[in-house]
Amino acid sequence: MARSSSSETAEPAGSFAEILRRHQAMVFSIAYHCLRDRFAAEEVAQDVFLQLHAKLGELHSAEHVLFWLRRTAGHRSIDYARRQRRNPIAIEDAPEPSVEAAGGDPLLNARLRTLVASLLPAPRMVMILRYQEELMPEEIARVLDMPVRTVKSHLQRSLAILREKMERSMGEVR
Amino acid sequence: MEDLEKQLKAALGKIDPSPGFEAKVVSAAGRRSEVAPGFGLRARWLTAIAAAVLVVAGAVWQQEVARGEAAKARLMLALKITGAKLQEIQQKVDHAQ
Amino acid sequence: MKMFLGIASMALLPLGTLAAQEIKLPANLDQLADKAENVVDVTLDGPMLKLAGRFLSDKDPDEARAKKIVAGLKGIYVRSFEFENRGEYDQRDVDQVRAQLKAPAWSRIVNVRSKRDGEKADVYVKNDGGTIAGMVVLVSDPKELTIVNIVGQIDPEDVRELGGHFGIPKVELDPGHNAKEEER
Repeated sequence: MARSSSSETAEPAGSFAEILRRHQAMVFSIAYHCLRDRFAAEEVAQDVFLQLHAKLGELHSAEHVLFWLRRTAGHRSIDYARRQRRNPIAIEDAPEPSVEAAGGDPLLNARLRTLVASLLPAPRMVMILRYQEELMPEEIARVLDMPVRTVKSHLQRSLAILREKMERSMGEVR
Repeated sequence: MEDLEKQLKAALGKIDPSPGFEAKVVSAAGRRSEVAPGFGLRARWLTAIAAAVLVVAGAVWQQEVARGEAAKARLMLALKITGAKLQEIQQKVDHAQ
Repeated sequence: MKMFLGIASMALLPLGTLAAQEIKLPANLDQLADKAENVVDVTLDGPMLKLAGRFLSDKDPDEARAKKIVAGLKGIYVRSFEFENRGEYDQRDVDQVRAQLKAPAWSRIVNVRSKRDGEKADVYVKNDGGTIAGMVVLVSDPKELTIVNIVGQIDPEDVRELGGHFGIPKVELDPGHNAKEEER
Protein backbone atom coordinates (compact mmCIF):
# COMPACT_ATOMS: atom_id res chain seq x y z
CA MET A 1 0.00 0.00 0.00
CA ALA A 2 1.08 3.62 -0.40
CA ARG A 3 3.26 5.00 2.35
CA SER A 4 1.20 7.19 4.60
CA SER A 5 2.21 10.81 4.76
CA SER A 6 1.09 13.65 6.98
CA SER A 7 -1.73 15.61 5.38
CA GLU A 8 0.10 18.74 6.49
CA THR A 9 3.20 17.94 4.42
CA ALA A 10 1.94 15.78 1.47
CA GLU A 11 1.73 17.39 -1.96
CA PRO A 12 -1.94 17.64 -2.99
CA ALA A 13 -3.29 15.23 -5.60
CA GLY A 14 -4.06 17.93 -8.16
CA SER A 15 -6.81 18.15 -10.76
CA PHE A 16 -7.68 15.32 -13.14
CA ALA A 17 -6.29 17.26 -16.10
CA GLU A 18 -3.01 17.94 -14.29
CA ILE A 19 -2.65 14.30 -13.28
CA LEU A 20 -3.44 13.13 -16.82
CA ARG A 21 -0.88 15.51 -18.33
CA ARG A 22 1.78 14.58 -15.79
CA HIS A 23 1.37 10.81 -15.86
CA GLN A 24 -0.03 9.82 -19.26
CA ALA A 25 3.42 8.81 -20.56
CA MET A 26 4.07 6.70 -17.50
CA VAL A 27 0.74 4.84 -17.68
CA PHE A 28 0.88 4.40 -21.44
CA SER A 29 4.45 3.13 -21.28
CA ILE A 30 3.68 0.56 -18.60
CA ALA A 31 0.91 -0.78 -20.84
CA TYR A 32 2.91 -0.49 -24.06
CA HIS A 33 6.02 -2.27 -22.78
CA CYS A 34 3.78 -5.01 -21.46
CA LEU A 35 1.52 -5.40 -24.50
CA ARG A 36 3.71 -4.19 -27.36
CA ASP A 37 0.57 -2.95 -29.06
CA ARG A 38 0.06 0.82 -29.21
CA PHE A 39 -3.66 0.57 -29.76
CA ALA A 40 -4.13 -1.85 -26.86
CA ALA A 41 -1.84 0.22 -24.64
CA GLU A 42 -3.90 3.36 -25.26
CA GLU A 43 -7.06 1.43 -24.56
CA VAL A 44 -5.67 0.22 -21.23
CA ALA A 45 -4.29 3.65 -20.39
CA GLN A 46 -7.63 5.31 -21.12
CA ASP A 47 -9.43 2.80 -18.90
CA VAL A 48 -6.95 3.49 -16.11
CA PHE A 49 -7.51 7.24 -16.32
CA LEU A 50 -11.30 6.90 -16.51
CA GLN A 51 -11.18 4.77 -13.40
CA LEU A 52 -8.97 7.40 -11.78
CA HIS A 53 -11.51 10.06 -12.72
CA ALA A 54 -14.19 8.17 -10.80
CA LYS A 55 -11.97 7.61 -7.78
CA LEU A 56 -10.12 10.93 -7.59
CA GLY A 57 -11.98 12.06 -4.49
CA GLU A 58 -10.57 9.10 -2.57
CA LEU A 59 -6.93 9.85 -3.42
CA HIS A 60 -5.44 12.33 -1.00
CA SER A 61 -1.94 13.14 -2.21
CA ALA A 62 0.26 13.16 -5.29
CA GLU A 63 2.14 10.18 -3.89
CA HIS A 64 -1.10 8.24 -3.43
CA VAL A 65 -2.16 9.04 -7.02
CA LEU A 66 1.18 7.84 -8.39
CA PHE A 67 0.99 4.59 -6.43
CA TRP A 68 -2.60 4.04 -7.54
CA LEU A 69 -1.79 4.67 -11.20
CA ARG A 70 1.16 2.30 -11.22
CA ARG A 71 -0.85 -0.38 -9.45
CA THR A 72 -3.90 -0.07 -11.69
CA ALA A 73 -1.89 0.19 -14.92
CA GLY A 74 0.21 -2.77 -13.85
CA HIS A 75 -2.73 -5.02 -13.00
CA ARG A 76 -4.79 -3.99 -16.04
CA SER A 77 -1.86 -4.60 -18.35
CA ILE A 78 -1.18 -8.02 -16.84
CA ASP A 79 -4.86 -8.98 -17.26
CA TYR A 80 -4.86 -7.78 -20.88
CA ALA A 81 -1.58 -9.61 -21.54
CA ARG A 82 -3.05 -12.85 -20.19
CA ARG A 83 -6.02 -12.45 -22.52
CA GLN A 84 -3.57 -11.68 -25.33
CA ARG A 85 -1.73 -14.95 -24.66
CA ARG A 86 -4.95 -16.77 -25.41
CA ASN A 87 -5.08 -14.85 -28.74
CA PRO A 88 -1.43 -14.27 -29.44
CA ILE A 89 -0.02 -11.79 -31.91
CA ALA A 90 3.51 -12.36 -33.09
CA ILE A 91 5.70 -10.26 -30.80
CA GLU A 92 8.24 -9.82 -33.59
CA ASP A 93 5.51 -8.26 -35.74
CA ALA A 94 4.49 -5.68 -33.12
CA PRO A 95 5.19 -2.21 -34.51
CA GLU A 96 7.83 -0.11 -32.80
CA PRO A 97 6.70 3.18 -31.26
CA SER A 98 7.06 6.13 -33.60
CA VAL A 99 8.88 8.10 -30.90
CA GLU A 100 11.98 6.33 -29.70
CA ALA A 101 12.62 6.44 -25.95
CA ALA A 102 15.71 8.57 -25.20
CA GLY A 103 19.15 6.96 -24.94
CA GLY A 104 20.86 3.81 -26.21
CA ASP A 105 21.16 1.96 -29.46
CA PRO A 106 17.74 1.92 -31.16
CA LEU A 107 18.19 -1.60 -32.53
CA LEU A 108 19.32 -2.90 -29.17
CA ASN A 109 16.42 -1.09 -27.46
CA ALA A 110 13.94 -2.64 -29.86
CA ARG A 111 15.41 -6.12 -29.32
CA LEU A 112 15.28 -5.73 -25.53
CA ARG A 113 11.68 -4.54 -25.62
CA THR A 114 10.74 -7.55 -27.71
CA LEU A 115 12.49 -9.89 -25.30
CA VAL A 116 10.87 -8.29 -22.23
CA ALA A 117 7.48 -8.69 -23.89
CA SER A 118 8.20 -12.38 -24.42
CA LEU A 119 8.35 -12.97 -20.65
CA LEU A 120 5.29 -14.21 -18.82
CA PRO A 121 2.95 -11.34 -17.82
CA ALA A 122 3.83 -11.13 -14.12
CA PRO A 123 7.64 -11.15 -14.45
CA ARG A 124 7.26 -8.88 -17.49
CA MET A 125 5.50 -6.29 -15.33
CA VAL A 126 8.11 -6.68 -12.58
CA MET A 127 10.82 -5.85 -15.14
CA ILE A 128 8.86 -2.84 -16.43
CA LEU A 129 8.35 -1.42 -12.95
CA ARG A 130 12.01 -2.00 -12.13
CA TYR A 131 13.53 -0.48 -15.25
CA GLN A 132 10.94 2.00 -16.48
CA GLU A 133 9.79 3.27 -13.10
CA GLU A 134 13.05 2.48 -11.25
CA LEU A 135 11.17 1.04 -8.30
CA MET A 136 12.93 -1.05 -5.70
CA PRO A 137 11.77 -4.67 -5.25
CA GLU A 138 9.90 -3.75 -2.06
CA GLU A 139 7.95 -1.03 -3.88
CA ILE A 140 7.19 -3.38 -6.79
CA ALA A 141 5.90 -5.92 -4.26
CA ARG A 142 3.48 -3.33 -2.84
CA VAL A 143 2.30 -2.19 -6.28
CA LEU A 144 1.65 -5.73 -7.55
CA ASP A 145 0.52 -7.30 -4.26
CA MET A 146 3.31 -9.82 -4.55
CA PRO A 147 5.77 -11.14 -1.96
CA VAL A 148 9.15 -9.40 -2.12
CA ARG A 149 11.00 -12.68 -2.60
CA THR A 150 8.77 -13.44 -5.61
CA VAL A 151 9.66 -10.04 -7.10
CA LYS A 152 13.37 -10.67 -6.58
CA SER A 153 13.06 -14.13 -8.04
CA HIS A 154 11.28 -12.75 -11.14
CA LEU A 155 14.00 -10.11 -11.56
CA GLN A 156 16.83 -12.59 -11.22
CA ARG A 157 15.34 -15.15 -13.58
CA SER A 158 14.18 -12.59 -16.14
CA LEU A 159 17.64 -10.99 -16.30
CA ALA A 160 19.16 -14.43 -16.78
CA ILE A 161 16.70 -15.24 -19.60
CA LEU A 162 17.30 -11.91 -21.30
CA ARG A 163 21.06 -12.23 -20.99
CA GLU A 164 20.98 -15.69 -22.53
CA LYS A 165 18.75 -14.63 -25.43
CA MET A 166 20.81 -11.49 -26.06
CA GLU A 167 24.00 -13.54 -26.13
CA ARG A 168 22.47 -15.90 -28.64
CA SER A 169 21.24 -13.12 -30.90
CA MET A 170 23.87 -10.42 -30.50
CA GLY A 171 26.98 -11.83 -28.87
CA GLU A 172 28.10 -11.58 -25.26
CA VAL A 173 26.26 -9.20 -23.00
CA ARG A 174 27.72 -8.32 -19.62
CA MET B 1 24.51 -1.40 -12.34
CA GLU B 2 25.55 -3.94 -14.95
CA ASP B 3 25.43 -3.14 -18.67
CA LEU B 4 22.29 -5.18 -19.36
CA GLU B 5 20.42 -3.29 -16.66
CA LYS B 6 21.55 0.05 -18.11
CA GLN B 7 20.40 -1.11 -21.52
CA LEU B 8 17.05 -2.15 -20.08
CA LYS B 9 16.61 1.29 -18.50
CA ALA B 10 17.24 2.86 -21.89
CA ALA B 11 14.98 0.42 -23.74
CA LEU B 12 12.10 0.71 -21.28
CA GLY B 13 12.07 4.49 -21.09
CA LYS B 14 8.78 6.34 -21.10
CA ILE B 15 7.02 6.82 -24.42
CA ASP B 16 4.27 9.34 -25.12
CA PRO B 17 0.86 8.14 -26.27
CA SER B 18 -0.54 9.51 -29.54
CA PRO B 19 -1.07 13.29 -29.68
CA GLY B 20 -4.85 13.06 -29.36
CA PHE B 21 -4.81 10.76 -26.34
CA GLU B 22 -5.22 13.44 -23.69
CA ALA B 23 -8.15 15.07 -25.43
CA LYS B 24 -9.77 11.69 -25.98
CA VAL B 25 -9.54 10.80 -22.30
CA VAL B 26 -10.85 14.20 -21.17
CA SER B 27 -13.76 13.87 -23.56
CA ALA B 28 -14.55 10.34 -22.38
CA ALA B 29 -14.34 11.46 -18.75
CA GLY B 30 -16.72 14.29 -19.54
CA ARG B 31 -19.20 11.96 -21.21
CA ARG B 32 -19.09 9.63 -18.19
CA SER B 33 -19.93 12.57 -15.95
CA GLU B 34 -23.08 13.37 -17.91
CA VAL B 35 -26.45 12.54 -16.42
CA ALA B 36 -27.81 9.17 -17.62
CA PRO B 37 -29.97 9.25 -20.76
CA GLY B 38 -33.69 9.62 -20.07
CA PHE B 39 -33.34 12.82 -18.03
CA GLY B 40 -33.43 14.87 -21.17
CA LEU B 41 -32.66 18.44 -22.16
CA ARG B 42 -33.09 20.04 -18.71
CA ALA B 43 -30.45 17.79 -17.20
CA ARG B 44 -28.01 18.60 -20.01
CA TRP B 45 -28.54 22.33 -19.47
CA LEU B 46 -27.95 21.91 -15.74
CA THR B 47 -24.74 20.03 -16.50
CA ALA B 48 -23.60 22.78 -18.85
CA ILE B 49 -24.36 25.44 -16.25
CA ALA B 50 -22.55 23.46 -13.57
CA ALA B 51 -19.54 23.17 -15.89
CA ALA B 52 -19.60 26.93 -16.53
CA VAL B 53 -19.80 27.62 -12.78
CA LEU B 54 -16.79 25.32 -12.26
CA VAL B 55 -14.80 27.17 -14.93
CA VAL B 56 -15.61 30.52 -13.34
CA ALA B 57 -14.87 29.16 -9.86
CA GLY B 58 -11.58 27.86 -11.19
CA ALA B 59 -10.67 31.30 -12.55
CA VAL B 60 -11.70 32.94 -9.27
CA TRP B 61 -9.63 30.40 -7.37
CA GLN B 62 -6.59 31.17 -9.51
CA GLN B 63 -7.02 34.87 -8.75
CA GLU B 64 -7.33 34.03 -5.04
CA VAL B 65 -4.09 32.05 -5.20
CA ALA B 66 -2.32 34.97 -6.91
CA ARG B 67 -3.62 37.40 -4.25
CA GLY B 68 -2.65 35.05 -1.46
CA GLU B 69 0.88 34.56 -2.75
CA ALA B 70 1.28 38.31 -3.15
CA ALA B 71 0.02 38.92 0.39
CA LYS B 72 2.41 36.28 1.70
CA ALA B 73 5.35 37.94 -0.07
CA ARG B 74 4.45 41.32 1.42
CA LEU B 75 4.08 39.78 4.87
CA MET B 76 7.51 38.14 4.69
CA LEU B 77 9.03 41.45 3.55
CA ALA B 78 7.37 43.31 6.42
CA LEU B 79 8.62 40.79 8.97
CA LYS B 80 12.11 40.85 7.46
CA ILE B 81 12.30 44.62 7.72
CA THR B 82 10.97 44.56 11.28
CA GLY B 83 13.50 41.94 12.27
CA ALA B 84 16.33 43.87 10.66
CA LYS B 85 15.38 47.08 12.45
CA LEU B 86 15.10 45.30 15.80
CA GLN B 87 18.55 43.85 15.20
CA GLU B 88 19.92 47.32 14.48
CA ILE B 89 18.35 48.66 17.63
CA GLN B 90 19.69 45.79 19.71
CA GLN B 91 23.18 46.49 18.39
CA LYS B 92 22.83 50.17 19.26
CA VAL B 93 21.69 49.21 22.79
CA ASP B 94 24.61 46.80 23.10
CA HIS B 95 27.13 49.44 22.10
CA ALA B 96 25.73 52.27 24.20
CA GLN B 97 27.94 53.12 27.20
CA MET C 1 17.79 40.89 23.29
CA LYS C 2 17.37 39.56 26.86
CA MET C 3 17.68 43.11 28.31
CA PHE C 4 15.32 44.35 25.60
CA LEU C 5 12.63 41.88 26.60
CA GLY C 6 13.28 42.39 30.32
CA ILE C 7 12.29 46.01 29.87
CA ALA C 8 9.25 44.97 27.82
CA SER C 9 8.04 42.69 30.62
CA MET C 10 8.43 45.42 33.26
CA ALA C 11 6.35 47.76 31.12
CA LEU C 12 3.33 45.44 31.17
CA LEU C 13 1.36 46.77 34.16
CA PRO C 14 -2.20 45.50 34.48
CA LEU C 15 -4.04 48.64 33.41
CA GLY C 16 -7.05 46.91 31.89
CA THR C 17 -8.24 46.61 28.34
CA LEU C 18 -7.98 49.77 26.26
CA ALA C 19 -9.72 50.60 23.02
CA ALA C 20 -7.62 49.93 19.90
CA GLN C 21 -5.90 53.00 18.53
CA GLU C 22 -4.77 53.48 14.97
CA ILE C 23 -1.46 55.25 14.54
CA LYS C 24 -2.03 58.03 12.04
CA LEU C 25 0.81 59.04 9.78
CA PRO C 26 1.02 62.77 9.14
CA ALA C 27 0.20 63.65 5.54
CA ASN C 28 3.80 64.83 4.95
CA LEU C 29 5.17 61.41 5.77
CA ASP C 30 2.76 59.80 3.34
CA GLN C 31 4.09 62.06 0.62
CA LEU C 32 7.72 61.14 1.23
CA ALA C 33 7.52 58.36 -1.34
CA ASP C 34 7.89 60.93 -4.11
CA LYS C 35 11.18 62.21 -2.68
CA ALA C 36 12.69 58.89 -1.57
CA GLU C 37 15.23 56.90 -3.56
CA ASN C 38 13.87 53.60 -2.21
CA VAL C 39 10.48 53.01 -0.67
CA VAL C 40 8.92 50.03 1.06
CA ASP C 41 5.22 50.41 1.72
CA VAL C 42 3.43 47.41 3.16
CA THR C 43 -0.12 47.54 4.47
CA LEU C 44 -1.61 44.27 5.65
CA ASP C 45 -4.86 44.54 7.57
CA GLY C 46 -6.82 41.70 9.17
CA PRO C 47 -8.31 40.07 6.05
CA MET C 48 -5.04 40.35 4.11
CA LEU C 49 -3.10 38.86 7.04
CA LYS C 50 -5.54 35.95 7.15
CA LEU C 51 -5.18 35.46 3.41
CA ALA C 52 -1.39 35.55 3.62
CA GLY C 53 -1.48 33.16 6.57
CA ARG C 54 -3.33 30.55 4.49
CA PHE C 55 -0.46 30.46 2.03
CA LEU C 56 2.33 30.12 4.59
CA SER C 57 3.91 26.70 4.54
CA ASP C 58 4.59 24.66 7.66
CA LYS C 59 7.43 23.01 5.78
CA ASP C 60 9.52 26.19 5.43
CA PRO C 61 10.99 27.22 8.82
CA ASP C 62 10.72 30.99 8.17
CA GLU C 63 7.15 30.69 6.93
CA ALA C 64 6.20 28.48 9.86
CA ARG C 65 7.54 31.15 12.23
CA ALA C 66 5.69 33.85 10.34
CA LYS C 67 2.50 31.81 10.64
CA LYS C 68 2.90 31.68 14.41
CA ILE C 69 3.59 35.42 14.62
CA VAL C 70 0.63 36.53 12.52
CA ALA C 71 -1.85 34.24 14.31
CA GLY C 72 -2.75 36.95 16.82
CA LEU C 73 -2.19 40.02 14.67
CA LYS C 74 -4.75 42.43 13.26
CA GLY C 75 -2.42 44.42 11.03
CA ILE C 76 1.15 45.09 9.97
CA TYR C 77 2.08 48.43 8.48
CA VAL C 78 5.58 49.26 7.27
CA ARG C 79 6.79 52.48 5.75
CA SER C 80 10.47 52.66 4.98
CA PHE C 81 12.14 55.44 3.03
CA GLU C 82 15.75 55.84 1.93
CA PHE C 83 16.83 59.25 0.66
CA GLU C 84 19.76 60.31 -1.44
CA ASN C 85 20.35 63.47 0.54
CA ARG C 86 20.11 64.54 4.16
CA GLY C 87 17.20 66.63 5.35
CA GLU C 88 14.60 65.26 2.92
CA TYR C 89 12.10 64.70 5.70
CA ASP C 90 11.09 66.75 8.71
CA GLN C 91 11.83 65.23 12.11
CA ARG C 92 8.80 67.10 13.44
CA ASP C 93 6.56 64.81 11.34
CA VAL C 94 8.15 61.82 13.02
CA ASP C 95 7.59 63.48 16.39
CA GLN C 96 3.89 63.65 15.54
CA VAL C 97 3.91 59.85 15.37
CA ARG C 98 5.73 59.64 18.72
CA ALA C 99 3.16 61.99 20.22
CA GLN C 100 0.46 59.37 19.60
CA LEU C 101 2.38 56.72 21.53
CA LYS C 102 1.82 58.04 25.02
CA ALA C 103 1.27 56.42 28.36
CA PRO C 104 -0.74 54.77 29.78
CA ALA C 105 -1.68 52.87 26.62
CA TRP C 106 1.86 52.82 25.26
CA SER C 107 5.21 52.24 26.89
CA ARG C 108 8.50 53.15 25.31
CA ILE C 109 10.81 50.26 26.04
CA VAL C 110 13.81 51.34 24.02
CA ASN C 111 15.05 54.82 23.33
CA VAL C 112 18.42 55.11 21.60
CA ARG C 113 19.98 58.33 20.37
CA SER C 114 23.26 59.07 18.70
CA LYS C 115 23.97 62.77 18.36
CA ARG C 116 27.11 62.09 16.34
CA ASP C 117 25.28 60.10 13.65
CA GLY C 118 21.90 61.76 14.04
CA GLU C 119 20.32 58.36 14.64
CA LYS C 120 17.20 57.80 16.68
CA ALA C 121 15.52 54.50 17.45
CA ASP C 122 12.46 53.83 19.59
CA VAL C 123 10.44 50.77 20.33
CA TYR C 124 6.99 51.18 21.87
CA VAL C 125 4.68 48.44 23.05
CA LYS C 126 0.97 48.71 23.68
CA ASN C 127 -0.29 47.36 26.95
CA ASP C 128 -3.56 45.43 27.07
CA GLY C 129 -4.30 43.70 30.36
CA GLY C 130 -0.80 42.35 30.84
CA THR C 131 -0.18 41.32 27.24
CA ILE C 132 1.45 43.16 24.37
CA ALA C 133 -1.31 44.28 22.01
CA GLY C 134 0.85 46.16 19.56
CA MET C 135 4.32 47.39 18.80
CA VAL C 136 5.73 50.40 17.00
CA VAL C 137 9.34 50.62 15.84
CA LEU C 138 10.69 53.99 14.76
CA VAL C 139 14.17 54.19 13.29
CA SER C 140 15.53 57.32 11.70
CA ASP C 141 18.81 58.75 10.58
CA PRO C 142 19.45 61.72 8.30
CA LYS C 143 18.93 59.65 5.13
CA GLU C 144 16.52 56.96 6.24
CA LEU C 145 13.23 56.65 8.02
CA THR C 146 11.43 53.43 8.96
CA ILE C 147 8.14 53.14 10.80
CA VAL C 148 6.78 49.72 11.66
CA ASN C 149 3.37 49.45 13.27
CA ILE C 150 2.25 45.99 14.40
CA VAL C 151 -1.32 45.79 15.68
CA GLY C 152 -2.49 42.82 17.71
CA GLN C 153 -1.23 40.24 20.14
CA ILE C 154 2.47 39.62 19.77
CA ASP C 155 4.54 37.39 22.02
CA PRO C 156 7.85 38.82 23.21
CA GLU C 157 9.50 35.52 22.32
CA ASP C 158 8.29 35.95 18.77
CA VAL C 159 9.76 39.46 18.75
CA ARG C 160 13.05 37.89 19.76
CA GLU C 161 12.65 35.33 16.99
CA LEU C 162 12.20 38.09 14.43
CA GLY C 163 15.76 39.13 15.12
CA GLY C 164 17.11 35.63 14.54
CA HIS C 165 15.42 34.50 11.34
CA PHE C 166 14.13 35.61 8.01
CA GLY C 167 17.72 35.55 6.74
CA ILE C 168 18.99 37.90 9.44
CA PRO C 169 21.90 36.63 11.57
CA LYS C 170 21.10 36.53 15.26
CA VAL C 171 23.09 38.92 17.44
CA GLU C 172 24.04 37.27 20.72
CA LEU C 173 23.69 39.48 23.77
CA ASP C 174 26.62 39.76 26.15
CA PRO C 175 24.97 38.55 29.42
CA GLY C 176 26.92 41.00 31.57
CA HIS C 177 26.08 44.09 29.55
CA ASN C 178 23.79 46.85 30.80
CA ALA C 179 22.24 49.05 28.16
CA LYS C 180 22.38 52.73 28.98
CA GLU C 181 19.51 54.92 27.76
CA GLU C 182 20.07 58.56 26.89
CA GLU C 183 17.19 60.92 27.35
CA ARG C 184 16.45 63.34 24.52
